Amino acid sequence: MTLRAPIFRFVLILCAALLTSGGFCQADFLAEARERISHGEHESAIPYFEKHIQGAPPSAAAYFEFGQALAKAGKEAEATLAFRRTLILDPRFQPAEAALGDANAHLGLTSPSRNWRTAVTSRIPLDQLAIAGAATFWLGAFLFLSALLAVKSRRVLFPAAFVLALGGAAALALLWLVDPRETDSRDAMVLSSGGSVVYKTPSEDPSQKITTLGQGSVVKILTKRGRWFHGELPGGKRGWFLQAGTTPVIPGA
Amino acid sequence: MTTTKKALALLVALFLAVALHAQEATVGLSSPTTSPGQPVEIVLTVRDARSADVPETLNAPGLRIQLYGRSTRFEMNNFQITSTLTFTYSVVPERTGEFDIPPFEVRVGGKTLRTNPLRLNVVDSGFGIPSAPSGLMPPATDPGLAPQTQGQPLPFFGELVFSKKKAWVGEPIPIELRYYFLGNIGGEVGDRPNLTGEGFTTQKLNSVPKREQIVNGDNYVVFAFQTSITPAKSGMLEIPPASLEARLQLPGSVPPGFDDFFRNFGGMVPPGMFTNARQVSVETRPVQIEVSPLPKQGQPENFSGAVGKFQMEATVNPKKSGPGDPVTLRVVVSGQGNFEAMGAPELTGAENWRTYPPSENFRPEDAVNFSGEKVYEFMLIARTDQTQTPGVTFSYFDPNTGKYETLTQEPLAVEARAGDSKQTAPATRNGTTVGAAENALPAASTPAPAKPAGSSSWIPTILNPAFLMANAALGLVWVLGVILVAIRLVARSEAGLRRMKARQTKARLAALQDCADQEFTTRAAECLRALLEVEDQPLEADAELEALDLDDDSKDALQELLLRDAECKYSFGTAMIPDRETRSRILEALKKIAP
Repeated sequence: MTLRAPIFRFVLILCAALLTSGGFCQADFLAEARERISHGEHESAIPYFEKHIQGAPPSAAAYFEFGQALAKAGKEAEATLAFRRTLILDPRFQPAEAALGDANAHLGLTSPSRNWRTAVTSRIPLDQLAIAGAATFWLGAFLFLSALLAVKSRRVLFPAAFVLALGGAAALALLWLVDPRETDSRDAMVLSSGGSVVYKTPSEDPSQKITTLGQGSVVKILTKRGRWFHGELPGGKRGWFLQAGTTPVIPGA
Repeated sequence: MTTTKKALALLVALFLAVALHAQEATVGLSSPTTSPGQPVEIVLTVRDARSADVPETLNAPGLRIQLYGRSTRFEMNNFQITSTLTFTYSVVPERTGEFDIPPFEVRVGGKTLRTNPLRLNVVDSGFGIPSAPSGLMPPATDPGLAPQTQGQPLPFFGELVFSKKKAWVGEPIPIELRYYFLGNIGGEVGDRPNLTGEGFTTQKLNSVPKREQIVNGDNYVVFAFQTSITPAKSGMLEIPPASLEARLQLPGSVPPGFDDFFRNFGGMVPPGMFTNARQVSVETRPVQIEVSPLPKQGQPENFSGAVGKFQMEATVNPKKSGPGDPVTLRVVVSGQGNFEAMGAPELTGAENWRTYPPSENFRPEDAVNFSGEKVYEFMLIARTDQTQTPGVTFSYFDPNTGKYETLTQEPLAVEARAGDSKQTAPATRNGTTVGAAENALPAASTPAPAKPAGSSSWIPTILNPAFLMANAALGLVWVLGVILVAIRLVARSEAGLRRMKARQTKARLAALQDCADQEFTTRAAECLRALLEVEDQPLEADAELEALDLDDDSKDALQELLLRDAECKYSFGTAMIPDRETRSRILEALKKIAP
């Protein structure tokens, strides 16, 4: 007993130290990146942002600052990707939308047009919508149970339960349709400076060439075959292009 | 031979009778836009009719509409004869505005045909889509416009119509390209003309619905295209001929051998009967415009290249914002001019605001992007608490006066609070953290810590493990609740109650078998009353027993039981104790009525 207590305490302290040291490291990377930006050293700040982003949970603010550093360093395509990621994490973040428009303009690309999905996501906080939708749905579901047991107030409880459950389910369905982490999950961006050539078939046959996607273009990946992607191009056409030079808009997707 | 000629004449008469059956009346304006005093034409066409009654004039306030010409035309195409009556009206606008011209009522035989209503836009002469040139205007027609060869009208020709011969660099000039084809010519016309040249830029060509027009007494079909050109340099600007490709069925000569036949009908060959197909390129005449450079003198510092006539309005939304929240200043520049080339208005007094380049959205009001409104949205974030927005100025060059004008919008009232620079956690907007990122903009002197703004995961909320686990737990609880409720509902049901009663009876009967002889009568009677459901009214037991569908022996045994029970009650327990046989008879009888 006398031996176990110090060992237990030692293990606890070690675990806590390991856990907190990781956090400190991430904070150090971000602080270092900001320090460099404050001195106008955008190029050298980029690796620190990258290290922070690799280790820390995703953050719209970090991606936004990263995007600005990339843009200032002349890496417009990478900046576009960072701003897109910012908007995926926080669709209501207007400065990122403006910055994305500028970065796209530098690349000679048009910014993604606003549609009903972006109209919804730019107004409604998605996480809160999920919680509210689930809470409303379950409130309706449990009210339904109590309506089954109630004798006198059944006529009121049943419609109320139905409306709540339906409203909650509708909110969750809407969330599923508009959440950019779902809708953009198959998007990939062309980052190679020479763009990416699109072919009718998965072969580098010049006669099968459809078009060349410019740097910063976003395509929707449909299937993968070896080193090839089959995707839908911005204009709606479909074609094959090499995986090399393209990066998923959502990391790890 | 005479019989053959008569038969042919009869055939032609039959063609005429068959072909003249589907009547319709249509109208068209020679130009949808004009200026006060500048007349335009309405051409009313009645197809497949030999005569028609049309109004001499039409009542439309602000417009003088008068009939001034009519013509009849017979055509034969593919051996089908059609007749067309054309009535031409002169429309003289008296003032500017948008005018609705009511439908024409045309009486053909016993029928009344109604045309579609028309709309005419009358604008100041300086900035309108050009109306038809004076040469085309009724009642006098320009003999030079449609040159004639040896007394015959030209089968086709082109014309470029524009509103002014002097312009400024950057000033858009609306033009209309018109291509005239004689009414009796068939064929196909290209999609759009080819207009290219140096020293000017053009807008997309917009096709105007084709119309009919009388020139020098001849009916022409007019294909028109509108656009605007913008001079890019000063000096004499030549707009080269704009050509439109067409494949036409031009009138041809009568083949040998048919002369004699048509001589029998007075020598008249039906129009359109003998044609030659020809590929032609119809060209407009070149036009010269004198272009002046924009004056350097008096040019405002914030002049961004706008040339035209503009107005400006501004609104702010929201009028009250939380700490660090942005407000949007919406500036609408409307009017007529070079919207595509002009820059954004400038903000004044914006030192205490963090500003970003505005978004732009142009909404044209015509097809050539000459009139419309351009909306600029400035996103502003207060650096310190503010009670009014920055002001807005916009300068443009007015080609009518030849001077620069500056529009000014005074600051608008707003309540905007600055973000708290001391706070470590970012401010929140509608539940979403934004302050951190906004503070992290390059304009900010001290970047705020990058606390998570928005979501902190790439997994959609609806697929987030924590969200799914919480919902699964709630779902489990709900399923358990459903099971409990179902059990309770089943227990409350009639079948459930019956089952419960059966269980109780079974237990009572089991207890009776083992109970002491002194208690047997009392407990057996209680069991019987419970089975008969007359526990509260013991006197009813006899009647209920009588009504039971039971054999006589059993009934007797149970009636005897009730008597013995009464005796027990009233004899203070001294009643006779049942023997074994009686006891078993009572038990048997009770089992028979048990559920």
